[in-house]
Amino acid sequence: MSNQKNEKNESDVTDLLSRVSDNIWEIPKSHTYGMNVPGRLFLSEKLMGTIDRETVNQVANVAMLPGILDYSMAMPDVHLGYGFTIGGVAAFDEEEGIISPGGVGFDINCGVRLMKTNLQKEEATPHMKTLTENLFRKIPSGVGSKGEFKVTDTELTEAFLNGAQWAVEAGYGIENDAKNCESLGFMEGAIPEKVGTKARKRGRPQFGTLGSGNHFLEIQYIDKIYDPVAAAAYGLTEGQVTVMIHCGSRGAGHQICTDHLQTLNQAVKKYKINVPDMQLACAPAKSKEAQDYFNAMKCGANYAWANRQIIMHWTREVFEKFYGKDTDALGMELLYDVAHNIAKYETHEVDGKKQDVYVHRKGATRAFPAGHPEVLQQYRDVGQPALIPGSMGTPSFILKGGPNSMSLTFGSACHGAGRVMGRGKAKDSMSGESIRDALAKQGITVRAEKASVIAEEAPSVYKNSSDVVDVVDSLGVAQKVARLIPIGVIKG
Amino acid sequence: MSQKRDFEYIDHVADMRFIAYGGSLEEVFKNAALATLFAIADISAIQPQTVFEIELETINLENLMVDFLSELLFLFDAEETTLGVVSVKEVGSKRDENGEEIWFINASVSGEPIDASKHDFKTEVKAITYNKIRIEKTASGFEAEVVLDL
Repeated sequence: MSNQKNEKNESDVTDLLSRVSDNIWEIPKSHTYGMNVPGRLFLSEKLMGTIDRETVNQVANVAMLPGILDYSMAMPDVHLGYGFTIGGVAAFDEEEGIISPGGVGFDINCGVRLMKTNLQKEEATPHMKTLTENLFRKIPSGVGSKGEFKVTDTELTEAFLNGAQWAVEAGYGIENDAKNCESLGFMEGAIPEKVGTKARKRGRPQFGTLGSGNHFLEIQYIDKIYDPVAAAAYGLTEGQVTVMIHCGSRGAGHQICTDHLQTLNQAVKKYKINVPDMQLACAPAKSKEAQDYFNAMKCGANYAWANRQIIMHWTREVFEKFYGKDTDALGMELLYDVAHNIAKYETHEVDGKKQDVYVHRKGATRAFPAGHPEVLQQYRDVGQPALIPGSMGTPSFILKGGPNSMSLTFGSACHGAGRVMGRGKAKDSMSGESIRDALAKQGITVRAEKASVIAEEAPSVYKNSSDVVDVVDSLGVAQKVARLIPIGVIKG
Repeated sequence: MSQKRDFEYIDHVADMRFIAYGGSLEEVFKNAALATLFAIADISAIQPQTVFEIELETINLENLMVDFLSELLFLFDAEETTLGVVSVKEVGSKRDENGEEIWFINASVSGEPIDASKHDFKTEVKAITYNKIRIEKTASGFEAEVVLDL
């Protein structure tokens, strides 16, 4: 019979680390034979108890991959993953390095977008029950869900190629939407032929669905502005209502990763690469196997951008109908859309030399600083918006890429709060109904497919988002602009 | 459908880890399949309305496990079927034309069209990972450990 067995939480890891400075800890190369570079954990003393030894070992494992540059890094929201940690960042040399699907994960371009409104908190809070119910009915979510949204095979190909831009052209959005996304809502160079039939078959019925687990749609309001200059550039004011959408590439991305991992698992033998864990399967960055994966991954990433675009479009429709005003009148403008599971070909300075590298962000967002040429023009003077969701009961944050991100973290920051408790343990120890009631008392309406999801995603299973964000803020990697308080949450 | 099952879940901070047991390779593959399907839904009452045959070959036993379980996720999504009944006919190895060892599985799985009003879904399993995967012979048969990405 099945049952739950809890593992011992070995949370004291300090003997494995050496302190470099405030919030920076090193895993020395002596930790494991074969590490090419040391590991680096960006953690405060306060967060030190939130990780275990297995997580440290996973950071060390990534340091063993060929051509890794500087450090195998972990952001303050780091937790145990299934190969790379979640919250992992690793950059690989174009010539000597590799590309690994494990450094991206199955949910390619899982990410977050934030839509502004010109509604004030007081105009939204009294209607949360109706609004969340209407959104829940409009946007398919949960296991096995499918929407009325149907795409042809040709349209799917278009989505693989052009991401959010395709969705806008197909009528799911307004012109400026794609212009407000990371890399304009699509990655160039996607090759749909590198996506197998299975990924197409899984992706088609799931287009325009939120998914389940930690994915969500949340109505929030801004309760605090930390940086008035950046807030003005982003168009944010205190009391303003926002909508955050967190989801990814659904079955399409999962299957793209599964299919290419199969190939790369055989490629490690061909290229004689020793991987400490089969999930870290990889191939030399310029090899056919690696490039095939990379160009298929771009299709998955573009699908995800289109998916979030479509879901945002439906969110607008729900708001328009409820408030009896159109998108324009409601000021429903996209602030930004960031990917947090992705590999990118970027230019970075390594040992004082400019170099083209493949940065893998597995549960980490880009956080490019002011002036960086890849920051969208409208945000270039202040830095790229980085969107950091909290849990259902803790704040989310809008950050801006900080001045030290390029030198410390290959232009990366954390991606969320980071789990500290497994789902099984959460369900065994808490009741979804009582968490829903407790959140309601705090003024947060939760609409979920079932109560067990609320227990699995309870605020206490996550690190405190404020503690996580404080680390990247004090390191100057990504700095606080505004804080968002949840008022209505949709969970699949 | 009442099926004998033998597996246990081990808590993982973000994902799900299980150990499946079996007196034979066929049994351990079947129990791994049931562990995966029970993670998605309570499948105790699923009837074998639609049957899918699965025949796979690959380079080793660990890859065969990942490929087999991945096939279940594919069928769930693409065929929009809640799978609940598993029959593993044969798991074994043979030589290919180059004399290389290859592992194969012949199995069938069946279930009912997805119906959220009827099926008790628990969570979405995104993928089967290779993370620390192991299939080992034990005193009483075999055991397999697998991490599912949730």
